[in-house]
Amino acid sequence: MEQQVKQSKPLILPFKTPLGFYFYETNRNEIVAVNEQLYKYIDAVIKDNEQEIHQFGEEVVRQYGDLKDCGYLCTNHVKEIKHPATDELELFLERKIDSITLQVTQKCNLRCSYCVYSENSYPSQRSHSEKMMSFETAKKAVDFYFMHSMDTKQPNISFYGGEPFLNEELIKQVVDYARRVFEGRNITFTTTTNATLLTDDLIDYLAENKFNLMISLDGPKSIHNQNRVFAANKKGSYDTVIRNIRKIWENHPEFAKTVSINMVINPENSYEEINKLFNDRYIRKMRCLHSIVEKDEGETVNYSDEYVNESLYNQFLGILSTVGRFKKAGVGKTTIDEIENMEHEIQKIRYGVLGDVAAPGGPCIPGKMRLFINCKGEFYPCERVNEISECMNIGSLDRGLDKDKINSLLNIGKLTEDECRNCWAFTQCILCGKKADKDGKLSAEKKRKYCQESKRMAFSKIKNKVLLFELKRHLSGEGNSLNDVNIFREVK
Amino acid sequence: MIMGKSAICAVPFSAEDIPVIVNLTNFMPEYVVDFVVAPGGLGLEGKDIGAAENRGELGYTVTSNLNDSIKSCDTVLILSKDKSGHLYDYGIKAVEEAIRQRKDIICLLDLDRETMNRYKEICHEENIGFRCILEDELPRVSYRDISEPLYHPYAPVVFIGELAENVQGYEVFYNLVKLCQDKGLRVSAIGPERANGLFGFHTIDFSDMRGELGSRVYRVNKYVRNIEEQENPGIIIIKLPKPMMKFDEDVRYDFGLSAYMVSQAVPASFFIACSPYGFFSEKFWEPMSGSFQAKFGYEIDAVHISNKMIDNTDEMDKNKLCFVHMPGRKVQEVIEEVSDESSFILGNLTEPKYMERVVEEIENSLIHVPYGLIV
Repeated sequence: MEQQVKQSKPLILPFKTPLGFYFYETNRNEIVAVNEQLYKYIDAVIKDNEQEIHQFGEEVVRQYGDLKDCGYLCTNHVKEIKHPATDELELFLERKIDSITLQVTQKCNLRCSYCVYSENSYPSQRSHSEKMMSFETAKKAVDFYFMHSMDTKQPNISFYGGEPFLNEELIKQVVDYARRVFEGRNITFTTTTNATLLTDDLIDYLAENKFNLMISLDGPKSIHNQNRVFAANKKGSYDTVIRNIRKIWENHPEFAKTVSINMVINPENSYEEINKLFNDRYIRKMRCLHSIVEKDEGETVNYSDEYVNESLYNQFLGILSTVGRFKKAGVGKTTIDEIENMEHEIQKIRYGVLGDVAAPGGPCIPGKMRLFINCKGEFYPCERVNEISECMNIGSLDRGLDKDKINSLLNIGKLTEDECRNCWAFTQCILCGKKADKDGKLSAEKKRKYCQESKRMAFSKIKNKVLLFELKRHLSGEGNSLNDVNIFREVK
Repeated sequence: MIMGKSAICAVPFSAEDIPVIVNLTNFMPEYVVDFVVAPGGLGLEGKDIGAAENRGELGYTVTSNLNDSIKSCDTVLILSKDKSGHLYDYGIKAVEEAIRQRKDIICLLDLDRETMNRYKEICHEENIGFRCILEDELPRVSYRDISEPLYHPYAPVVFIGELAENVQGYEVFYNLVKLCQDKGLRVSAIGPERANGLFGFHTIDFSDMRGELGSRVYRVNKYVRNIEEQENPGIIIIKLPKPMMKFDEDVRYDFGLSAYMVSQAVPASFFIACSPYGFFSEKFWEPMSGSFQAKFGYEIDAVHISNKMIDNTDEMDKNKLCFVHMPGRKVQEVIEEVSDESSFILGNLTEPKYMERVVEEIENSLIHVPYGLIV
C-alpha cells in the first residue's frame, strides 16, 4: 500500500482498487483518479525505477506533465513544523476557550471492567477515589472560564466523573452559578452518565435545563452486565439504566429525543447480539455513538470472527444505504453510527494547499477546545488524557495556563519532524500529545509506535471516499472500470 | 448628561453595536449616549465598549445595571438583536423596564406586529414616546418597468461588501457616510442595518429573496431610483447584505446571491471590501479583484482589514465562522507595514487616517471629474 517517498519525489500515496487507479496528493489533500498506464508511470517514478520509467510512451509522460502543471504530483515538503495557532496561542487562551469539563467527582458507583480508572486494570492511570470537587473550586473554574471566553459564542460546561451525579448537588450549584455569571449568553451543559442515579426529580431538572445528556449503555442485558456492574454488589446495572431511560421518555419525550447513547463495544461479543439492544422501543429512537473498548498499552483488543463477519456485512449494507440501494432500517444501528461518522470524516479530504510552515493534522489547541479541570483544580487538555502525567498537566486554577507545555503539545509534530515532513498522511494524521505520553514525558519513540495506526486510519478514510465514488459511478451507469479513462479527474 | 441634549441608554449592547454607539451623536446631535448596558455575562461590566472587540478605548463604558441606567436617562435605545438569541429577550426586558419607568423608547428590535402594537398602545396611554424603526419595503414593479433598461443613477455609487459576516463593514459604512457628509456631500445611505432608519438613512433587507429573482433586481433598482429622485444625493453609499461569496463548503452564507442581486440592480463606481484579519497579500487581492470584476462587475478599490481572525479550530457550529479578536494595536502595526506597499488602499478603515484616503480617492475619481463624465 505505502510507498516511501523522498524529498525530490512527489509526496503522494498511489493506490489501486479492483475498479480503478488513484493517488492521494498530500500537498493538496485531494484524491486523483488516473488511468492504469499513468498509475504505473507514477509508481515507477515513486520507486525510482529508471528502467521502467523509460518504457512508457510520450502520451503518458505528457499526462504526467499535465498533472504537474495543474499543481499535482508536487514535490514540495513542509519546511518547518509549526502549528498555525502557535503565534496566537496566548490570544486563543485569553479570549476563546471553547468549553470546560469539570471533574465533579472521582467516585463511581459502578466498576466497569474496561474503565481506565478501575483499580489494577490500568496501572498508568489514577484509580477511582472518594475525591469530590468542592463548590469553591468549581466556582473558581467557572470564573476562570468566564474570564477566558470573551469571544466564545456558545459557552459550554461539561460534567465528568467518576459518575457525575454522585455530586448532583454541586452540578446544580454550578449550573445556577454559571447561568448568573454568563447572563445574556446561551450557555449549555453536557454530562455523560451511567444513568443509574436518575431520579424523577433529577430528570425533571435535566430536561428543564436542556442538558446534553449522554448515557453509557454497552448492549443488551447479557453484554452490558458483563462489564458494567455496581461497585457495591457486583451486580449488573442494565435493569436500572433501562428503567431510567424509560422514565425519561415517559416524563419528557421531547427531551428524550436529545439524549444519546454512548456505547463501548467489546468485539469479543457477536455483532448481532450487541445490536439486540436496539430492539427496545425507546433505545431504537435514540442517537447512538460507539467506540471499541480501549486496552492499556501493550494489550490488544480481541475481535470474535462473528463480530468481524457480521460487522463487515453490515458495513456493506450501510454503504449501499448511503446510495439509496438498501433501506437504512435494515442496517445495524452501530453501523449506521459508523457510516455517519465515515461520511463526516471523508468530508475532511478536500482541497487545501499545505504551506511551507504547517503542522500534522492531529492536535487541537490544548486547553482551548475543552479544558479539563479535575477535582483539585488542575488543568489537562481534555478528559481523555492521563491525569497523573506531568506533561499533560497544563496548569491549574491557581497557577493559570502553562503556555510552554501547551506549546509543546500543540507542536507535537516537532518530536518526529523529519518523519512527519515526509509522510503522505501529514494532513490526515490523528496523533496528539496523548499518544506521545510516556512516563509523564513527551516521547518521540512512543509517538512513532502509533504512526502506522494513524496512517491506516488515514488510508481507510481515503479508501472509503473512493469506494463511494466508485459505487455512485457504477450505479449511475458510467461503467465498472476506470481503466479506459484517459484523463485525470478529482474524485468528488 | 450634556445640557440641552437628550441622554440615551443603549441596551443590550454587544460587539456588533459598536458602530451605532460611536456614530449616534454624529448623526443625531440632539442625543448623547450616557449609558451602554450589557448583561454581566458578556464580561464587559466596567470596561470600555472597545473591549468587546479587543480594541482600544472608544469612550463609552459598559454597565450591567439596567434599572439604574434607565432611571438616569431620557430615552432608552433598544439595540437590534437576532430574534433567536438570549440578548433579544434582554431587549424585551429593557423595553418593559423603560415602560415601567416611563421613559421614551426607540426600538431597533425586530418585534412581531402584535407585540409592537401592544407596546405602542401602552406607551400611548401612558404618554411615553415609542418609536419603532421599521425596514423599508421594495417598491413593486410593473410589466412596463421590467421592459425598460435598468435605471442608472446619476450620483456615483459606492458599495461596501464583506468577505465574512460582521467584519466591521457596518462601521466602515458609517465612517464613510460621515466623512462624505463632512466634506459637504449630500449622501444617500442604504443598508440592511436597522439603525440606518434612526440616523435618517435607509434600512432595507436586500437578502429577502421572496419573489421572482429577475423582478427583484428591478425592484432594487427602482428603490434606489426613488431615493435618488427624492434626495438628489451627491453620492450613494450602499452596504451590501450578507457576505459576498461562500467561505467554503461548510460556511456557505447565501452563496453571495444577495450581493450579486444588488450588484446587478445598481452599477457600482467604487467598491470597498471588508475582510477578516490575515489577508494582506496582493497575491490574494489581485485575483480576488479580477474575480469580482467578472462576477459582480466591479473591481476592488479599497480593502478594510478588520481585527477579526478566523478560528478554524472551533467545532461548535461548522456552518458558521467563528472569530477571535486580535489586539487592535497589533493589527494596526501590521497594517502600517503592509499598507504602503500595496497598490490599492488597504488599511483599517475604522480609522480616519485610512478612510480619508478612501474619500480622497472617491472625490478624485468620481466627483471632481474634469471631463468625460457620462450623463
